[in-house]
Amino acid sequence: MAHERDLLARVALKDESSFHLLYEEFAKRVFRYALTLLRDQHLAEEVVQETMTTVWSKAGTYSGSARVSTWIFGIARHKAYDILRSERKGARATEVTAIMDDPAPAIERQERVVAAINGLPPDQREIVFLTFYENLPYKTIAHLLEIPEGTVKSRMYHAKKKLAEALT
Amino acid sequence: MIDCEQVRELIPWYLNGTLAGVEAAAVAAHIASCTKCREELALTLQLSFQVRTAIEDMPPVPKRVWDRVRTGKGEIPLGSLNLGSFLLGLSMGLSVTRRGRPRVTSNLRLLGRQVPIYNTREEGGE
Repeated sequence: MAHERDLLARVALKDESSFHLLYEEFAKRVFRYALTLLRDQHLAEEVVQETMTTVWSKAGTYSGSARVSTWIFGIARHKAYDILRSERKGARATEVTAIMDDPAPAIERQERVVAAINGLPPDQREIVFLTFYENLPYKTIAHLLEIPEGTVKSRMYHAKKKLAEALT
Repeated sequence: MIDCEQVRELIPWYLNGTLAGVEAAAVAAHIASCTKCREELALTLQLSFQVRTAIEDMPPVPKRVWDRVRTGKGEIPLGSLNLGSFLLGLSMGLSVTRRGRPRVTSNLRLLGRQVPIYNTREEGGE
């Protein structure tokens, strides 16, 4: 954690090598988060690009009140939801490529899990991701998503129920 | 004491190890004596493992993303020079970026009026 704060402090001073290290640390995590939310590789790449560009330009505004990861995921979330909103308006519908087209999850069982995750609404998908993959506390998730803690728990409850129906 | 419903809500965070000490102890004590909640724990453990494995199997971030971060909108400035004249109300800025394409911005005001003189913009820039 202190390591991430040190890196970000140096990024605020426009230190390029620290920025590269921070990118190495977070690009994959932000990409997976965006992929979970958006289900589209090209859009997820866009989220990583815009998030890390914002990290570079806004590092000096990091207040230190939250973890660096929470701050970066907060930026990524805004970028991803901006894209989701434009998707819903149909403005970029032609660009959408389903994640299921990607050859990575090769085995059938894995495809079933991916399909089950993708079958969840975005607000449930992200809580599943943040809990099971990022291992965030529910209080941090509530803070990040700007929703009550009870809503985090209820979304997880419904997500788990749907996943269990699909996978067991 | 917490009931089954509360325990089941907390199980995902009990499993990811982020519950506060008091909450974690209460969940552990309840699970030790409740078969239904133990089953729920086992189910959640299985789901979390499946989800985690699926996410870890996602494709890696292509290298082109880093290239775009460095050279795209988030160009990394190497230096900048700003010149101005209080009397004329003129200011000009020159930024040198890694692309090697200087961006010149200007702002000329005469008697309070904006006078356009010269600007270069990045292709596809905002």
